[in-house]
Amino acid sequence: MAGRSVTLIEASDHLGGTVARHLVGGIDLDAGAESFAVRGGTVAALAREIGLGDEIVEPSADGAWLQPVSGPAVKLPATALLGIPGTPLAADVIAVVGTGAAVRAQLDAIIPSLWASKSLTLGALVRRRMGDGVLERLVAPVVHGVHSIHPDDLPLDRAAPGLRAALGREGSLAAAVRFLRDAAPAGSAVAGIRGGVFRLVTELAADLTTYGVDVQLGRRVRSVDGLEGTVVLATPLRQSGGRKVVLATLVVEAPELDSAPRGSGVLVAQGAAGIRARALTHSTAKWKWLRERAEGRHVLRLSYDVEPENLAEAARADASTLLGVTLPAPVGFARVEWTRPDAGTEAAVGETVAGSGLAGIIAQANAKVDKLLGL
Amino acid sequence: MPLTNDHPLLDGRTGTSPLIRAYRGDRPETTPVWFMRQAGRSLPEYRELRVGNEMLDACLTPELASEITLQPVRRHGVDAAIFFSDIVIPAKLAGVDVQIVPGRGPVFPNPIRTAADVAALRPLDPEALAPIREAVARTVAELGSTPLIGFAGAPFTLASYLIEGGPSKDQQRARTLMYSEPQVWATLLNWCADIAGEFLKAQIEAGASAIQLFDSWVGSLSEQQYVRRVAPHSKRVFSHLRGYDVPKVHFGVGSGEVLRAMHGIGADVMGVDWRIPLDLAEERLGGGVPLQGNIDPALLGAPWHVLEAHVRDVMARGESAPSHVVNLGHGVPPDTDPDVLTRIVELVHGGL
Repeated sequence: MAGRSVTLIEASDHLGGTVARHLVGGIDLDAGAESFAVRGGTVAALAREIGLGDEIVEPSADGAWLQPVSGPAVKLPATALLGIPGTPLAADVIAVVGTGAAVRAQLDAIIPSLWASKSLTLGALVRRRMGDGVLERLVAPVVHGVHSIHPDDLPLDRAAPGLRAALGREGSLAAAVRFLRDAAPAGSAVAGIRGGVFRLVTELAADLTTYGVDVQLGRRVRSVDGLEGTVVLATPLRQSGGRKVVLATLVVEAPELDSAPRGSGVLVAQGAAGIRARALTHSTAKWKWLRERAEGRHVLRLSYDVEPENLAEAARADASTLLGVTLPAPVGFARVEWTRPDAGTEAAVGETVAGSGLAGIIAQANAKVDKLLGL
Repeated sequence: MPLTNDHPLLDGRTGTSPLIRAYRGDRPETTPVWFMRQAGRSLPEYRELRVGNEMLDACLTPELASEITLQPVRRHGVDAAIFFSDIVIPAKLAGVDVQIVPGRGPVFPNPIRTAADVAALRPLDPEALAPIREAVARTVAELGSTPLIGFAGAPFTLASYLIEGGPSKDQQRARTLMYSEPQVWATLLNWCADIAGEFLKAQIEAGASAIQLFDSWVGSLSEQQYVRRVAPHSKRVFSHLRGYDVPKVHFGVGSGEVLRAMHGIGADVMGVDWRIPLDLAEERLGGGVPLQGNIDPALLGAPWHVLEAHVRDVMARGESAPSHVVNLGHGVPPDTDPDVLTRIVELVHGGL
């Protein structure tokens, strides 16, 4: 800590925010973030620094599925970036968006590269280059699954750094996607921590103790007046707005799920009939360490923007539909509610200024701290 | 707080003694020598004194602790006294229940393994250290120009005793806690560091001219574990000694992998165990660090000509360091013939 003495003030009774642990059906699970983007190596560097370097794990290579507005779930296209197809006329793209929308998306190849290149949001860019069909049927469910937000509300440069520049260079959005995919290191774009991402917080909290940081839990700061030293706000003083996300976690005994019928999970297109969940993660299919720990049981996690009545039963029903398996009553269930804060400028670090996602939050915080310490 | 002017280190008694000069990187005319665990079990006069007294009671009875500390100085003519105590004494003085079980060592009937156990630990009241201060004061009054070295166990080793409930083979339960409950671990090691710091401070203020922090079990750790989950706490012990300009010696058994990291906590002198020769230790430390060690205790029972050759080799290799204090690579074994130790002192002092 470069010789500084540090006080940490936290309104809740625990550290870590949405990186948290909960016990469901006797299994320790992530209650919030359960993976992180590997881009930039930011999270991996932190994990190494705090002794978890050997605990970084890749998710199963199976990939995710998409539940379209109508019809059965389909496997997500192999070559895509946030759902934006690298080959719009590929069979796996047509299977999701239909032939008409795929043909429209192919126009991207002949539209001049400058067209729409100044778009502010990911949604605007995709709509104008590839059409509404690809955006709503493919990109929106994927983006929502990753960021809990519609692409029309997602700033382009935050969601896909380098995409705008690649579009200028490569001449089309699809080519830019292919370029970025090829340039990306082999392996998955996300990773996890064996035992749960919450272990990052466990280790960091121990570090605070080790290095004598004064941690004050359960103390809400309403004004920075009277606080001594350099004050670094990690969240606005007054929480305004934000979007509620409810997570339902089910632990089920269902051997039919051993074959991972929907890979690592299912993203749901808005308007998909009869399904209220926005996404389903088949956690025991996605993470090998969790499959071993669950000892034959399966862990499913569903996210909701609007909480249905009787969440446990609704989640079981949604999971049954999405997985194509009639699930029994769960042996473990948990409900967690998170608020994703609106973007703001008051805080110096944290989600409101760095956007959602550990990679971005940690990188921004590192840069801020270096600046504060004059490094 | 600086030392008072009547402290042995400042009033002319020990400031220019061979030990202190060597600890500060100077090479005195004769190479200083002392032995870890020179006070106690190997001496007949100690065994006589201990009859009817429990080990920990002896540590806390100023007359006894002082006399036991002085015995080897009188007998062997060593260049330093090491304060007779036990690693568990500060924990006992802080209210932790501990007994010495003959043949086993210190045993804690209520091991410290959970957050609640750690939260129940109380700080060490400086008043409770009165018998330590008195024993040290009595000792330095007798020692004259021979410096007294203060003693404490490092947080990892002490915490391992507390977690395991006593001595253990490879500190497995302790090392598991380091991973499973890192915050409980950190809180416990901070507590150990704070009581060790208070314990050393009391000895320095009462007249100790140097201190040695023992991390006996450090050899069971990987370098990464040591650097991340142990070293910051050992450093915290020394942070309690800020302002006291006494040489600080740090020693661990099996420390070859972590020697440099151990020095990095702020030690002035590194004690080296018998496993690596002093010239290699000098190299691993990057040069310039006064060394202490490292006669293999196993050779104390060997024929004299074998032991003599070994001691001469240790001294020759010690030449690679800026200065050298001869010692064993670990404590004196209980069955050691005391005359052998006396003879080593004569040899090191150039009398043989």
